Amino acid sequence: MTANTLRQTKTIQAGQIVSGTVITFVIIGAITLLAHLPWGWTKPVTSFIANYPLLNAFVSAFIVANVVALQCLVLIWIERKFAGWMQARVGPMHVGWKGTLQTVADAVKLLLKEDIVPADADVPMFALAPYLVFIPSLLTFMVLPFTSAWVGFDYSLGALFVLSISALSILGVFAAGWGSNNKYSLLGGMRAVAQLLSYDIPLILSVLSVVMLSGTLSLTKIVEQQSSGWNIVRHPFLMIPAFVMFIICTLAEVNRTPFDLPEAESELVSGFHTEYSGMRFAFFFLAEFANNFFSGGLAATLFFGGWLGAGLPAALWFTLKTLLVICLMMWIRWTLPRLRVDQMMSFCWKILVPAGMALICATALATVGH
Amino acid sequence: MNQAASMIAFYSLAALTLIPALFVVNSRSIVHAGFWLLPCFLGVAGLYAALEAHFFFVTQLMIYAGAIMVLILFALMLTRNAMDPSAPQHNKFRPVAGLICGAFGLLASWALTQHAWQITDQSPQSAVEQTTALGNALIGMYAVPFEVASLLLLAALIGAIVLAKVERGPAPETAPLADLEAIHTLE
Repeated sequence: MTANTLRQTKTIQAGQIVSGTVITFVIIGAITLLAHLPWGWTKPVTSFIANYPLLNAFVSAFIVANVVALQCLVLIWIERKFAGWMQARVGPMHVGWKGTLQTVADAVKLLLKEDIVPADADVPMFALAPYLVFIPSLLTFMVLPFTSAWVGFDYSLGALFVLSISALSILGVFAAGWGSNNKYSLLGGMRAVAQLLSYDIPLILSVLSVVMLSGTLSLTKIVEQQSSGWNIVRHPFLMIPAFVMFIICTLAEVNRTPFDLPEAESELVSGFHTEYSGMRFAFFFLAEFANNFFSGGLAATLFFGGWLGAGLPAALWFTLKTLLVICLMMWIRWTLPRLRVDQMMSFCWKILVPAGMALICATALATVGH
Repeated sequence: MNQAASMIAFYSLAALTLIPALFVVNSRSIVHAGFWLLPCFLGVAGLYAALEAHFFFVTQLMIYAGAIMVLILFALMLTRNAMDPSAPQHNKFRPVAGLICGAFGLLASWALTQHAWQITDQSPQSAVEQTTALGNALIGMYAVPFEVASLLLLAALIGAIVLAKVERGPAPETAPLADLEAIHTLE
């Protein structure tokens, strides 16, 4: 790269930073204004819905499902722009302003594509797998508190529930790997099962340390307790290691580089979803980005005080914190190369699990006085 | 919850548990059989939820539907001939087995009807109280059985590793690029 093109790249990057910041502030201002409009006229509708538990559950589920689907479109656009920025290119530019409609076009393309089932596939498993992956990631959103009021179901065992539900998506990955009847898919599926199973343990340990500090399993209560200060600020010596461990494990859980061994484009031709096309492939992608958003949201809830914050609407605070955590994950993704399988396993079992145990002991010692 | 709704919930969850259980034993492909276990476990979890045993509901999801399922599937993947649709599903002891199972089923249902089950009108404790009570019991009154169970699991783990570990001699020394040289000599 000559000095001239380097300078041009730097200028483009500076321009992107400035315009990105301006756009962010404009969006934040618009949403804040919107939140301060008089919404009193919706009161009869919301109270009518709240009177009927089944209708209430249906409306909540409908909103959650749509939020999950739509945030996926936005996240993919952000991811591609982010990747472009980190690799000194511009990313999608042509469809819509700055490529904003690119993911919409991609989604429409995926919906219209032919759905191919390989001749030798194990058809029921092949057909079922995308939904087995997607349903658990949708269910996790049910208990994720966007604000104290905006939560599908305020479950008092929420932290435990999300951990157990998100572990179920392993089965879908396995079904995809097995059902495709393709050696690369099967290898990807086996890697995925080993990886997800192993990294579940340190993930649970890191969440457990937060639960021990808060003394509650309810996600909304964990946030409410942070009104005197975020967990990561109040107990930095415990919570910063817990957060690092959490981020590493979530990267492994959502199959992102450096833990993208189950997909591994260059060695397994994208692993367990090699044989998928059309709508079923879209479901895998949807699940991945839904998991991604959920992991960011869980990190914001556990460590950064969830919806708590001054000035802006609570849901906006939550979304901003979530997006920042997601950006951190994208930063790691586009910086680090992929691990080897043996490195991935030994790192989990020889470093993360003992570190998690030590963290639990330290948290127990710290909370013993309370 | 009113009577009719709880009856509907119970019978639909029982169907969700039992019908897949039939498919588990009758499925030709052993991987399919493994996957039929999932609705079975979910049905049991649903029964716990209907009884408002929240901690058991979540634990059932995590341990059975999550961990045990994956364990079974992992074992299937490492098994040779996991997919053999032509393998016979029955052997000559089929009538005897049916007789024993039927007799045991009759005996069990007779025994269960003999006991006077007490039904209370009180609603269960809240999820938080249940979980606290269970935690206190596990590290208080039942600490010793709990530790013994974990010791047993540890012993099983170590035993499995010892059994599975095969002593291998050092790998045979091959010169670098030996196979390439062999090809050259062939040419």
